[in-house]
Amino acid sequence: MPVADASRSGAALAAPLGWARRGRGRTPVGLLALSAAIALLALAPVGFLLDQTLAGGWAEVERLLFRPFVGHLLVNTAMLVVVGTAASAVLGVAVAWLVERTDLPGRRLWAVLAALPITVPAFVTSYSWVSITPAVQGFWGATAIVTLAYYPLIYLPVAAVLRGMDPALEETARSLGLSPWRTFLRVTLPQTRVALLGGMLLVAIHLLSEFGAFAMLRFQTFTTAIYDEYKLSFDGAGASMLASVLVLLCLFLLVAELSARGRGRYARVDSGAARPAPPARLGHARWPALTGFAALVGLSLGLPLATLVYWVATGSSAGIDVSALLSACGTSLELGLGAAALTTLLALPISVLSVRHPSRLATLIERATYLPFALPGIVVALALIVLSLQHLPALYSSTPLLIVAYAILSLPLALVATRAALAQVPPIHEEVARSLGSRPLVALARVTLPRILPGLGAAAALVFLATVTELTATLLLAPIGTQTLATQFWAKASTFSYGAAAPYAALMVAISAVPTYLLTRRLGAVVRPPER
Amino acid sequence: MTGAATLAIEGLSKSFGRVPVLTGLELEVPAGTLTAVLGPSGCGKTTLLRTTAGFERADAGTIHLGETLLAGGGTHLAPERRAIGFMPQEGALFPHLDVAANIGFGLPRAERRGGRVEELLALVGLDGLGPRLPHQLSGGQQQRVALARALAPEPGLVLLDEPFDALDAGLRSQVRAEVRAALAATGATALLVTHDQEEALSLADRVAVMREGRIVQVADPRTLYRDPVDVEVATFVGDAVLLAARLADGFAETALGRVPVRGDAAAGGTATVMLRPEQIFVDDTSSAAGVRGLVTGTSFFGHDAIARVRLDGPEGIEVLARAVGQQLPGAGRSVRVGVEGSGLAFAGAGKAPASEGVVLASAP
Repeated sequence: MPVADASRSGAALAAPLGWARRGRGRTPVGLLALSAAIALLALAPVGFLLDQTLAGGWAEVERLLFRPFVGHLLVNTAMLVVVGTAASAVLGVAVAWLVERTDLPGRRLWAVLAALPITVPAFVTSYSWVSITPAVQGFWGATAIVTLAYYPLIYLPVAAVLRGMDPALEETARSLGLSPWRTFLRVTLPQTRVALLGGMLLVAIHLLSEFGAFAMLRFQTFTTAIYDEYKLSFDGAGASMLASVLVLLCLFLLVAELSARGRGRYARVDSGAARPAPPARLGHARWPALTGFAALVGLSLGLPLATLVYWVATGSSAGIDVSALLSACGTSLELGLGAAALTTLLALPISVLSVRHPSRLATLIERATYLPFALPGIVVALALIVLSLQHLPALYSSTPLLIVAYAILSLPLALVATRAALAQVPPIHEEVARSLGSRPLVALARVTLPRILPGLGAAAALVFLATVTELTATLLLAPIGTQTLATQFWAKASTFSYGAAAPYAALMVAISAVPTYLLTRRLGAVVRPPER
Repeated sequence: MTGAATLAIEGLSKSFGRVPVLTGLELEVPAGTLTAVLGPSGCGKTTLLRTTAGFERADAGTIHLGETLLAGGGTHLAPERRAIGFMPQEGALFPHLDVAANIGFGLPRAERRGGRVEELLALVGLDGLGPRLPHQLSGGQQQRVALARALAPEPGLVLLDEPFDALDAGLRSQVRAEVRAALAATGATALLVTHDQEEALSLADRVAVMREGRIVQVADPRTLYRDPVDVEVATFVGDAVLLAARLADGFAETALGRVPVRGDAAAGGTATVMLRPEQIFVDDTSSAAGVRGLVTGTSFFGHDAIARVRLDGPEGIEVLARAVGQQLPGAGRSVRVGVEGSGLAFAGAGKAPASEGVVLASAP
């Protein structure tokens, strides 16, 4: 290893990060302004919504919030979040441990199958179950179904940590006299803490945001109530008030996760060359484990897909409206591609700012754009409606506004991918290009852009995926006459036309399979170590 | 683009936050010469290079290349307008471009696939490798491509940031020689930074020793090794034996006897005298003259060897003696110790390290 000249890094460490640091070059003002404007765009709607709600005064808050109905929603939502998140955590950790650290037969295949439910939108899964039996409606049914739909959000990050964990830690614990089970509780599980908490936060936020599944399962949460208040009674003020409560719940979750995460660094994030751990031997326990996996994959993936196939088959005997299907498909593709392009474009300057010119201001701007991601789509949609109605009526119920909503909701997805790609290109390459006579933007285009194209592709694919399966914001914001696969499916399914709904869901799942496939290959390229 | 030009840096200062990195640095690199900036890690060498290249803004001071003011007095010429080639650590070739496109990167579009690229490939001894991708090259080849890329636009100055650090020891001296030859062939002005004293002394026309953000001595390698300005420079550029001495009439009375001295010899009084281990010889034949001592250990390096000798006497002072390997007496032998040539005197004992005797070079 070369002994790096520590003058630069040492100084950077010693000097506190300034608001706009002057260290490595000066932060270009244009870049800073552009990034700040994008962050403002992402935050403004929700800020405006909160402001409007509070502007009504305390009496209004009291009238709209202190009702038995709101109490009922709060209990429902809280129970759902607590039970659903806990169940997902247990399921996710168990699956992660079994596929990563045991000799479970066929564990490579199970590892893939167990991750796949994430590609089927929860409202489609719920539809499948409801079309079989109405018995799944209500709290326990709803909790079970969303747990099956969302546990991969915990399984995937925890599995990644288990895979990279240094087996010496567990071996040391065993040599100090701990039993395998106590080793798991005292050493293994704490190692996964950051990933586990992050995954639980994602599940909890998804549970707060989920609209379609709970509407289908006849279980009332804040999200379904906001939709009803807005759509059925056209009560903008009531909906805004409930949405504000939802925002507070989300903020509470964010803060709770942050404080639970603590200061310790658990994961071995550096030097990925840890020796693989010898798998635990399951022995006779492998039969119940295999049965459990078969049941899990059957319930979370097999049954929804089988139901879909069944309804497509029986529905098609009644005749599919092919032209409506194709038109909805075209609209979904257009919106998805538009959102992917816009969002990736918006993510680029913020990524450049935070990767190339890190400062406290840059971090603040970047983090600010993450906030709407933690907010339910319905809140962002409602905020955009209120904002456009009051200030930009021309935009109300227009396609551009819908695409902006998608962009706000999925900006962090694009940011994560572009950031990761950008961080792989050492700044020295741009510096060398500049010493060879290229102006800054030319250096970016000739040296950096060609190398982050896979990352930009991944960003676009992630956004496309999220957009095509997005239901709530689309229902609220889509211009009259604009029908996507998701809204058409919803229209049919909520009137119990299960057969008519199925082709839309099937097509939606098929379309999302393409970017998912590309992503599994592309993301591999993005996280590949930098070439020399 | 310009031809080789003289680099002149005056009063250069640069801080990161409240941490000063360069503090009033002065340096001149005459046109067509290779100057090595030698300093320990963290002394600010890389910041000096980056500020010269224009990647960092100077807080104060001026940088001129030939007649052109690059930085200072409110001017900060952008890196792309400085005509300064930069060869970073580990080469940093553009991985998405082949060798020819890397070398041609800084050339006008029309010249990118022409004879100039071939010419540069030949210059660094890589004829025919133009279509290769960087990852298909060895580390040494990558370094040479990086140099060719920096030289392609005929810059007035080339900066080399610890360019041989990433190479294994075997390859290093070979690539060093090739880079030296390529630089000499183009007559470019070059500024190289390194923490490796052997590299600086063997490669450069002139060596500038850098410490805590400023240059403390600039000299040709021989002068630097023989007449360092202070004890710290002396020990940084090579192994040294430091002895307390009393000066009189151009001689020093030391534990090794009476030694002729240069440097601060006229001052008289007490001083520290520096000798290089190769000036000290040991002899285990009974008839030999010199101070008595006992060999406490030897280190064998192949081309030569070093013996550690504890001098007889209450202080138990240890000195190093370097000789061709086969001739050194082994550990445990009683020997006589003598001195060849003159020592370098540093007035006063203040600059001397806490303990008298052996000081090994702090370089790697």
